[in-house]
Amino acid sequence: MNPWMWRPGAASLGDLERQMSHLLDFTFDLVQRHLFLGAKPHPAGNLYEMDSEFCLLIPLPGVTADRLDIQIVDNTLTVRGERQPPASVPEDSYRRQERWHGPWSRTLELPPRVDVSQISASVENGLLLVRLPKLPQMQPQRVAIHVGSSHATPAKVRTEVVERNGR
Amino acid sequence: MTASQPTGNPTPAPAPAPAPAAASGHVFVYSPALDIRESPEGLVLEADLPGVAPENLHLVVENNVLRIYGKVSWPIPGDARLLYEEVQPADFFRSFILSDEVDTDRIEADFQDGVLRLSLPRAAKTLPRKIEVRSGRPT
Repeated sequence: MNPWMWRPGAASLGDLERQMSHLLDFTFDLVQRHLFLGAKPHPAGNLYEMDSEFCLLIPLPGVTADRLDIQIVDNTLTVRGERQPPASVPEDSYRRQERWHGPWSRTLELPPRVDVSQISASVENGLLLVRLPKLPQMQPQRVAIHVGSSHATPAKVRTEVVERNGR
Repeated sequence: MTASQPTGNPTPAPAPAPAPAAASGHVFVYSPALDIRESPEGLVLEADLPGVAPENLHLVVENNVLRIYGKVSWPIPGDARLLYEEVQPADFFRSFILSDEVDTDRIEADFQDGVLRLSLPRAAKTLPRKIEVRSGRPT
């Protein structure tokens, strides 16, 4: 799904554009799925890196904490769950159905510098956020530099732990 | 450019230059996925709006048009570097034309865990109504 341009004030044009975009997306998804051109990962998520941690963000509308299962096995993080359709609603009462439901899972290979024991997750407003703190020795550190009076001691070099790019 | 053209030659007016997105108020938005189903009371609409806080969801009914606008905020600090992206943060917008069947005064909305649930009750005038038949000659 791609964002589409909304032009306030030109509602009918915007509607047309949205409909076209929907149609194209739908057709493209269908072709992709049926020709096995590599299905889109589902649910989609983003991975961010901060100084002290990594963050995995997955939009999961309607998913609550008790319907989520997060496991770490051998440096592999797996998030899985199942989205149930509303109970006791006959299938033929739908006039339009665009929302997905069913089981899903995503797997992420953790970089070695993640402190596995400190991983935490939260769900708010339909967004899952998994925080993956870095190991303390992998976080940026500054080394204090003393203004020495004697030049006999070897000058300390200003060092900073340089992070390897774990992409 | 138009000033230098001969005046006798009628040329179509030049198309206005596309304005920058920010100045003209153009916004990139997602069209939220939604289900519409029938219930005994009327229609039920359910839409996925992940990342929208309840106070940032705006529902407006005006001239039988229902507008849903949700402002998205992700709990990601500004200094975060994006390593891998499959989804972009963008607000949600979608509008509908409601039929006269819907009683717009009694629309109810419930928003939980990023899912909006709107109940659109059927108007009383569309419910079956029995018409009494009078017999007898008017006097």
